[in-house]
Parts: sequence; structure tokens; C-alpha cells
Amino acid sequence: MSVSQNYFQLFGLAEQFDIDLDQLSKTYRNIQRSTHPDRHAHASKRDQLMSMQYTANINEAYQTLSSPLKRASYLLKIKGVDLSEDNSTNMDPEFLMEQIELREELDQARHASDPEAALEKVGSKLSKQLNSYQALFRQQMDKLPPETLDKAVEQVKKMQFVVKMQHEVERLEEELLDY
Amino acid sequence: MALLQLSEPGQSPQPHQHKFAVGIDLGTTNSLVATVRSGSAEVIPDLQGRRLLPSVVRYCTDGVIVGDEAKQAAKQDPLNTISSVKRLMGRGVDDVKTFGNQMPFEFIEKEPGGMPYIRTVAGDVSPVNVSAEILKVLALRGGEALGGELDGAVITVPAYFDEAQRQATKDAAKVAGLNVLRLLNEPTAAAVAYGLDKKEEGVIAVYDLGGGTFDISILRLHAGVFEVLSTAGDTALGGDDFDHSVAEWLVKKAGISEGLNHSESRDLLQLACQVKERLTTEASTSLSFRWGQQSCQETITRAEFDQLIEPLVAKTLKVCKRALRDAKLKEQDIGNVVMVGGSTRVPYVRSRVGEMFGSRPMVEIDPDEVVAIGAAIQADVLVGNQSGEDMLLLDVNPLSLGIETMGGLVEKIIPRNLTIPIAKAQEFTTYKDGQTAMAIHVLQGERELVSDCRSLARFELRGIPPMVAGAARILVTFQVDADGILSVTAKEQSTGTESTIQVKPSYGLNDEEITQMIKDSIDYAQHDVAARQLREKQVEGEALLASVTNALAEDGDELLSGQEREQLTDKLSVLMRALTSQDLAAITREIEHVSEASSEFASRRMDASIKKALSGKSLDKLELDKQE
Repeated sequence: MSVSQNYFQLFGLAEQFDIDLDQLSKTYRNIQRSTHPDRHAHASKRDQLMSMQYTANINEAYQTLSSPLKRASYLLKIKGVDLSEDNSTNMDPEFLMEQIELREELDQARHASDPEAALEKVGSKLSKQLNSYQALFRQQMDKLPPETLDKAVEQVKKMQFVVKMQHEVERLEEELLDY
Repeated sequence: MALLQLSEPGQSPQPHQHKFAVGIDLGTTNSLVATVRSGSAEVIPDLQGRRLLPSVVRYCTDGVIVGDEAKQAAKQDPLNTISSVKRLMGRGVDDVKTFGNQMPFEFIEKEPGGMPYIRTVAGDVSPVNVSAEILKVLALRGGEALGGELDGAVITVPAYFDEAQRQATKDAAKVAGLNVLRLLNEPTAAAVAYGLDKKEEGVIAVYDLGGGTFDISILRLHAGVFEVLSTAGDTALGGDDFDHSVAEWLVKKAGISEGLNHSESRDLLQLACQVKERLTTEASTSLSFRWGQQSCQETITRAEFDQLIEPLVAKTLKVCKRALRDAKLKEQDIGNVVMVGGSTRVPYVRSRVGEMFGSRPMVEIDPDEVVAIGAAIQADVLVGNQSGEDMLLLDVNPLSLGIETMGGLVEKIIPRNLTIPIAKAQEFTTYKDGQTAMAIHVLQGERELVSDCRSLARFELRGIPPMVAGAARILVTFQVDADGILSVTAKEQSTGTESTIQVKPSYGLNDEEITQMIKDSIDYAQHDVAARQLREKQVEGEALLASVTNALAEDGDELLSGQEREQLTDKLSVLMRALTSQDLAAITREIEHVSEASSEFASRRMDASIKKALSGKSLDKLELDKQE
């Protein structure tokens, strides 16, 4: 696996946000059929090690491309924007206001008469938001050249916020259901 | 498509050799060994025709007894007769304090918080030793049935086993002298046994309730690929707990107030187990029990029994819900539910599971044997007897892995339910000028506090080049292999210095301890350790020679230049010569040379096979064509 090959190239996909997820999992399974350590269990130790490293990379690539947020961040990374090194938090105030309200709703859900229903409401709001930021991101990435890249970055940052809160919803759900 | 397949029809440089491989189900209560013979997987019985080997080991002054004979002696020799050792694997003395009171053994704490040892007349033994004794008996049984020494084994573990428990199982196999082809999750093994049989497609759930552990796995089956979507479980919940519930009921009902002695407690549990088994077919049963000078006579109905175990069954269903959530599925998405483990014979368990998933659970394969059968099929593929083209298992890591950060919190590095093998890198830096060492505490679990997770190991990174605080950039890579076992490597980024890592497993054994155990092992004393080492290296060298030779025959022309090919062939002939010698050092050296010289070639082949997978007609499509 040449180091220069990015995850899209690895799976034979065009470098864009819209990908055929069915095709992705089919290709993933086919590649696994040749690289997976089970295919090399009777080979030499060196081949076993190599197979593990290849497969670990393929698994990482698959997980990255399967998740919309990870895929979007990865696309930006290919374009030279590394979000993990970006600590600026100047988001648009309207968005932040929305998030604060949602957070309050989430905090209150715990004490609601029907916490599960309250959580579900927050959850569906979040996924609606996520969808709209994804749509914007897609549009802005299509329109690149670079002057629109900043806007695309902003969408991904918003997606990060939303996904983080989705995790919190899940955690609270687990806590309430006592898993 | 298998890359380094040893024999390709028509161009095989050496005749196809059938290898001896077995699948072993190392259970809490019983263990089994199975193998594939003339195309079908079957359990191997002992000479008396017994298929199950009770997981009981009795240590005597003049040797070790395993199985039924040990189980029978449990009453007369409780301190030296060890059962349910699986519950102790990968555990610390502190864990034993919480559930060990159900076990009548004398535990020894060799180091504070470390692995528990059990005092016997034959010396102090670790859970790894005890498991190794069970494995030895099964390996012997397999070897005798197949007519030769085993080339490899697949050993099953509960899907929810943590890293320490997996490592302990692998260590036990090493001590028993077994070549472990793979640690396979029990529910996945069961899915293989059912899935291959029925050419199953879609999503299935495997509900595995054994004597001491509970697992649930959700899998998607697609053209021979078994993709585990999620797994959850409880490593301290099983049919034994049903027995305890019945025993407690009787204690209350018959007014057994004063404490029972060890032998009476054992009798009571045995009786409870019999009651459970009788109620599988009968609507009610009577029981009588004697203790001290007293006795009692009671009747219990199945409805009463169901009520007793209800909280336990409800607990398993809650775990199922969690697995569904992780797989992002609903109950109605599950096509079939496979039942595994002796405790799924209980009618109440079957009906509650059926209710939850809205389908009749599958029980066609003996729930005690299905795991070993699946493991045997996988062992046959892994050892290279079948091309295995149409089967692939993609499993996940059951528990999140993380490291300790400031304030006793855990930062997750590898979340649960990710397909393995997986590697994640994390960068660390120094916080003091000239700092050359750093400690990393690795934990497993879902909670946020260090104190709520299981400690796996402490790593000490040494050899960091001295720099000002914050300047060193140490990239630590955490890698979980296909057995679910973790390894850690570290590199300082700016200078490229490899840091050495010292591992201190929290409840496990280090390499020296395992080597010592192998040397101490009774069977081993009779062998010459050096001869064994030589033989192992020869086998490794032969495998390398065969795989590179085959690779050259298949792809040498296409992927190597004439000069590259010549260089590699030269190295191969040196290795071949070394292999005929008895020179361990020379063989080791030539293995390294060939490994090095062929590594670029191997990597080109890997790339070529990926390219082929991308461009060629996909197997999924082929599968569809066949169906049309």
C-alpha cells in the first residue's frame, strides 16, 4: 500500500463527499478477502504481520469513509486543512445559540416526565441539523476553488458539534436505560 | 485469491499436504475438541465415547487428573480439585475476593494485586496452568484421532472477554504446547456452524448463555462473509447463577439457617443443578436434601423456577438491547436467533429470547457442541486445508481501550465494536525539560473514571531523547490484532528514535514467566528444550521457504525484475541448505535474510491483490450470478 495513496484511492472512489456506500462495503469485503490475517494464518510470520498492518489500515480507511463526519474531515485534510490542529472556536453566533438551547433541552430531558421521549426529540433535532450541514458541505466542496473552502470548514466544525452532542444523547440514554 | 496459498491446482511445487487442525471450546463447565474429517465437522470423543470433557483438574502428589475422574473426586478432595477456572483467567486477586467465596480453594497472593495462585498438594498453580492441563488433554485426544501431532488449533473465548482474559487463554495454549491459529469468539464460531450449513443471508443474533458467561453478537452474513456488527455480554453471568438461585430458594424454604460446610454447599449446588435440568422437561419436580442432622423434602414447579431466574434472564435481555443499539438495529431487523450454550436448554430462556426477537430461536445443532464445530471449520480453513475462498470472519473488539489522563480520567483510543485488526496512533509529549521516560496506563472499559475500568497494563517508555518540555513528539501506536490482543509501539517523531517499551500486565504473565512455565511443565521436562526450539525454527523456515517459492511461481515474473528475482532465489537456496542442518543460529539468520529480501515482493503482491479486488469482477457479483 503506497503511502501516497489516500483512502478514496484505496477503494477506487472519486475524491468527493457523495459516495456509493453499498459499493464501498462491497469493495471493502472483496479487499478483506485477500488481505485479512485469516487468509495468511498458515503463511510465514512476516506475511502474517504484513497482513495485519494492511488490514488495520483498510479497516481504518473503511471506518473513515463510512462516517459522514469523518469522511468530510478527511476530504478537508486531503485539501490541506487539518481540523485536529485547529483550535479556533469563532463559530457564527446564531449556531452557538442554537446549540446552547439544545444543550439545555438535553440537560432537562433527564428530569422530564418521559425522559426517553424527550431524548428522542433532541436526537431527531440533531440528526436534522446534521443532514443540513452535510448538504451545505457537499455544495461548498463542489464549488471549490479554495475561496469557498473556509465555508466548507465551517460546516464540518458544526457537524463536529452536533456529533459530539449526539454522543451525549446516547450516553444519557444508556444511563437512563441502565445498560 | 488467497495470496500465499500453498497449492494452486496444476502448478503446485509440492504435493498438497493435509494438515491436522482442531477447534477447541474451552468452557467454564465443559470443554470439547472437534475437527473436520472428510468434509464435515465433528466432535472427537474420548476412548470411552464421552464427548464433553468436564473442565475440572485435580492435582495429586503423583500427577494431574483431568475430566470426569477429577470431577468425581471433587467432594473427597475439594482443595486440590479445581473447577470453573475460566472464571479466574486474566483476573486479579482482588476480583477473586469478590466472587472467589463461591470457590473452595486456597488462593495465594504472590504479588500485591496480581494474578491469583491456587495452593495444591502439587504446588501453587496459576489459572493459566490449570487451563493448560485441560488443553493438553484435548490436544492429545485430537492428535490421537487424527493420527499425528497437531499443526494448529483454534481456541474459542467468550466474545466479551477482555484483553487480559484473551492473553491468559493464549498463554495457556502456549504452556500446553499448542500452535494457536486464532482465538475465535464463541458466538462467531456458532454463527459459522449454522451459517455455512444453511447458506444463511441477512442479519442474525447469537445468544450464548454458558455455565459462567453470557455473550450476544449481532452479525451480518453476506456471501460467506460473517461481519460482526456488535457484541456485548457479561463474563460473570451464566447457568451456574441459575443453580445459585435455586439453592438460595431451598435454603429459605427449608429454613437452613446455620452455615453449611464446603461439602454440603457443593451437594446443595449439585442438587440445584439437577433440579434445573429436570425442569427442562418436567412441569414440577421434588427434591430432598440432608445437612448436619437435618433433612427436608420439597417440590418446585417450573413456574416457580422461572420466577427465580427471571431477574437473570432479564439481565441478559438488557445486554441484547445494548448490542442492538450498538449495531444500530431494531429487534425486527434480526432474521434469526441462534442459541448457544447448555443454559439455553432452559425453556424459559428460549421463550423470553423468542419473544424479544419475534422469531423461534434456532436450536438444531446441539448447543453444547455448536461452538467447537464452528471452531473446527475455521481451524481447517486457517491451517490451509480449504482454500476458504467463500468464508471470511470479520470480528470486533468488544470493549473500548483507552489510556489514563489527568485527574484519573480515561481517554478512549480504540472504541468498542470496531472491526479488528485495528491500529490507532496517539501523540504524546514530555512535560519536563530533559525528560527521557514516560508512563502510560492502558485500560479497558466504557466508563470515564480510571477506577471504573479494568487496568490492562502499564507501559514505560524509555529512551526518549532529552529535549525541552513539550518538544518531544512521541507517537504511540496501539494495535489490536485479529485475536483481540493489544500491542504497543512508540517512536519519537522529531528524531525517529524508537522508544523501548516495558510492559507490566496488570494480571498477566510476562514472557519470562511463560517460558519458565513451559520449562516447568511436566511433559516438557522429558523433551529436550533445545530440540523443541530447533524444530520450531525449522517449521517456521519451511513455511517461509514454501510461501516465497509459491509466490515466485505465481507472481515472480510479473512483479520482479530479473535481477531482483535472482537475488531472492539465491537467498532461498541458502535458507534451504540451512534447513537441512541442525544449526539453530544459522536457520534463524537465514530466515531473517529471506524475510528481509522478500518483504518488498510480499508488499507488491499485497498491493496487486488489492488492485485485483478493485478491478476484477467482484466476488459479491459472482455470488449473485450463481444465484441467478
